[in-house]
Amino acid sequence: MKPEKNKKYTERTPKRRRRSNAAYLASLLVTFEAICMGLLILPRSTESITEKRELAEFPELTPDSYFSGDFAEGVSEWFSDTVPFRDELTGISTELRELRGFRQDGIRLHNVGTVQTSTPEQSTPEQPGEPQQSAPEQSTSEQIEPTAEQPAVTERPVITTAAPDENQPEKINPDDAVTITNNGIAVVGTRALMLYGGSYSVGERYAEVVNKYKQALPDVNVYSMVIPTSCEFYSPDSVAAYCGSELDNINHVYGCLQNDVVSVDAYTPLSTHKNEDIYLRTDHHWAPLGAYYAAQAFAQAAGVPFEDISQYEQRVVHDYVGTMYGYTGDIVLKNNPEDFVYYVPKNVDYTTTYYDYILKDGKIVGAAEPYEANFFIKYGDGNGMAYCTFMGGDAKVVKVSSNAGTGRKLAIFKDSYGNALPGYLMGSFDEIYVIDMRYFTHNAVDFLTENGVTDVLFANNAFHAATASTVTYYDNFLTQQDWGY
Amino acid sequence: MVFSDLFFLYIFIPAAAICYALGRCGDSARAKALQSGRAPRYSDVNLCPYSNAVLIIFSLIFYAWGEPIYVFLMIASVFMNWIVGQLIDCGRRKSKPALVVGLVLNIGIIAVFKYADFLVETLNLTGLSIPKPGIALPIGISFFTFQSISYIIDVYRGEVRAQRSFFSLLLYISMFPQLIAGPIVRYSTISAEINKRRITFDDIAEGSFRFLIGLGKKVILANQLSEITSTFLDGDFGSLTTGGAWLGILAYTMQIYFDFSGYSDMAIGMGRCLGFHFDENFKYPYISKTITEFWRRWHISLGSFFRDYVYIPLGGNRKHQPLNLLIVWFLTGLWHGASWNFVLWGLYFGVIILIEKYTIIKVKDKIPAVFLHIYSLFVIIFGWVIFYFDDFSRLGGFVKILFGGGAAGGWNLVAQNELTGNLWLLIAAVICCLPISRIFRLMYDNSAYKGSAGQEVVLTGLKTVIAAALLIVCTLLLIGSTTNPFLYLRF
Repeated sequence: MKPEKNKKYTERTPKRRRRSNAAYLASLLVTFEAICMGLLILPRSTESITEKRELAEFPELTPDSYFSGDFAEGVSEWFSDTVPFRDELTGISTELRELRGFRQDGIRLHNVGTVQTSTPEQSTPEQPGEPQQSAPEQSTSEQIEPTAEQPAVTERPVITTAAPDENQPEKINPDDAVTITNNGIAVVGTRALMLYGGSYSVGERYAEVVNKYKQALPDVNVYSMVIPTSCEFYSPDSVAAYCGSELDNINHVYGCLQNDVVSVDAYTPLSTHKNEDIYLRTDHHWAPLGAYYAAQAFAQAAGVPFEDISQYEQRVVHDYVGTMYGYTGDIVLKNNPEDFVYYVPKNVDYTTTYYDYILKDGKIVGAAEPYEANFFIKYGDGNGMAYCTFMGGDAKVVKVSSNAGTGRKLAIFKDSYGNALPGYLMGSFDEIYVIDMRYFTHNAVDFLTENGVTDVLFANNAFHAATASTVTYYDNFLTQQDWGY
Repeated sequence: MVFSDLFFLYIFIPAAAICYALGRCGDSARAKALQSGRAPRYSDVNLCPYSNAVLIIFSLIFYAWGEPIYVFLMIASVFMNWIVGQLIDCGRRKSKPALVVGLVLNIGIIAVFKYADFLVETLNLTGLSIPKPGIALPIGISFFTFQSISYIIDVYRGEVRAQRSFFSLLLYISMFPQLIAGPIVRYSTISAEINKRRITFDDIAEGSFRFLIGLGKKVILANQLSEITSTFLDGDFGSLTTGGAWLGILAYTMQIYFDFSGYSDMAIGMGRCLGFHFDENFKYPYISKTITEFWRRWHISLGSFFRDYVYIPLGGNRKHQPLNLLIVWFLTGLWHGASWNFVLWGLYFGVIILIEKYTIIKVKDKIPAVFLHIYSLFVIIFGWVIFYFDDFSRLGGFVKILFGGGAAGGWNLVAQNELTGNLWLLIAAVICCLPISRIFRLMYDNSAYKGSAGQEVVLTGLKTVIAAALLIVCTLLLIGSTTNPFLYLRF
């Protein structure tokens, strides 16, 4: 011990030192006990609204789980994951983390440019594994009698935008990132942008599978709408350097479609209206208003009637914070909630029938009895699940029957972006079948034929159109045998 | 189980503390009974049987939590060393064969469980194709085996008596504060405290504060710095800039210090609360002026182990010193992991220390301190580059980028974002690498109110606020974090 230290302690009387230490220990013990009691007595959290997931469950104790160490690890994980008031407390810890530094130009990058991350759809709990069954035999469906007017096949347009700014940094070549569709997330101001990293090669395969549907169903109108995402329109130059060009990829996909597949240009109307709230700031989805403009472009391409948005009832979920907060933990998103505005048709009578799938560990294990329910599900203000307003999610096939009287029946093969489309098309088609790319247990050709579908729309965002699993799913739908439910 | 885990903090610690307190009550009652009765060899009696039993049980639970099977290996290792200790110390002259057997068995255990795959991989480089045994590394094996080796050598040297009680030796080896990531506590350091120890208010106050300082180093600094490290060192080097590479390795330099010294602080703090006084393991290593000094400040218990049990027995400074140094540093590198990059890292320091002996050490008083600090930091940081990458192709790629040879240029938005986004953290981390407690002590000593009751109140209040804040902040940061293992657990 150093002499100074000894000196110091000799100047403190033992009695005074004991008293000081007692006061310190008592205060610390009270703090510790308060936290401890809070963790042990208060009810534990079971789900995280901000992260949109079920929290860890207490692990099962078996000889195997014990000796493998999984049980102990599971208990620690459960204890840490299910802390009482978890979302509120993680909100505070996120505020604390923000104190690490500051945002230059209001930008914060999350896993951008260096670390590979998964796409949002792959991160959601409902993400299934690879299709469990597939029918290797190619179905030879009956020829569908033409029941609707075929849209004229015209020379395929190439979507163009304003001349690129010479000062803008050169964007990365999509083929440089062969397998990555996601280059991370940038929070710019109060808007989160998932940065695109799709590749030309997967886009070509995506176009091929769409072509296959047309080849299998020659009398059905097949459309492909690749939906751009927000990073395409709102990335400042510095961030755009980490973002592949969705426009280039969309054009490339469209260029690979065969002539009798109709490409739907959602890019131009979205670009035109980019100063409106067409994308959610705190979520990886577009806003229902963006879906409206895309649906309008589709209706024009399909030659069906389409109602102006003024004919819809506007509803709002206030204080919405979407998935991007869960993905990034960026407190700016949590502190800047937005309005989730959606539009309900007023002039159409329709019924919505749900064919829900039963999932276990993300895989389909059965199907519920069909039932009728509302297409639009009402969420309260502040509910982070508000994007599920449309049909409540993805793990289902949904049939919307309406009094449109056009004699046309539409099937939409979609990712979650596509969920926002049917609401605007109920007056355009007598029936709409909504089929998620991850959840479908029928043979696509048989299903479409048996239901007399006249139009098939592939509506997927640019990320999914450049993701290999999307192609696999759609390919399997064509060849798989009916699962029996 | 790791210290920076809510389950450890709020389930294990309270349970262990309550049981330990009950054990201490039992010990006190028993000691009074012994004092009042006839106890001819009172000084030899274990005065802490109940608290020791509690400590052993909780230590085994602690180890079995992460290693439900290898806990038996650890117990078997202790049993073997207990027998060896008895054999060495059974006669007037210490038994050398018993020592040799003990050393062979201890080194054999670590060779099989830590280096078997590495050995096979190395042999296969010669063209053989021996299948790898694939034996999982038991947590903390390097630490508890080295403690065992130090024990039997100390017994052989007559520096300590062999421990007659198996359970007391089990307590020494398995004591949970230092079991899995050190410090490598010598038996002589705590042998007296195994059977007889006092725990005062001072011990608990100082120990708990030290524990919280360590927890803060780990959770507030190391865990946050690890995100910067990961951004730059784990990603694709095609987009890594020179600035990003330096930022990443600087972050790692501080991360590994706070991670490891934080663990040591927690171990020392918990040991103090339990009545044990472990030696210091770190003394502000990054303020060193030479690499020789750095290794007197970094992981002191490991450095002193190799000094006392390898370097000096080999001849130390007296004969073929360069060879002795290289052997010691080869082993130091190898101890850190079964990979050639660790060996390279060890030899790198060995060579530099050797060069220093004939150059800088002789003239360091004439060189301005600032140059010495810059030199040392550069060597240390570059050392961490070798340490980090066990893949030599990535190591080469990173070094190239570090010195401006990357394709992505010098600086980009990612580097800018990480720098500004973590600027206060980085500044705080740099400050915490400095001996700030010394500065506070100096301020205290020069204070006009030194020793006054008012100052006592202020200091106690300050300490309480810091401790409570550390506890609350660390708890908040640990919510939902399921994996934040200490870097040194893998050694």
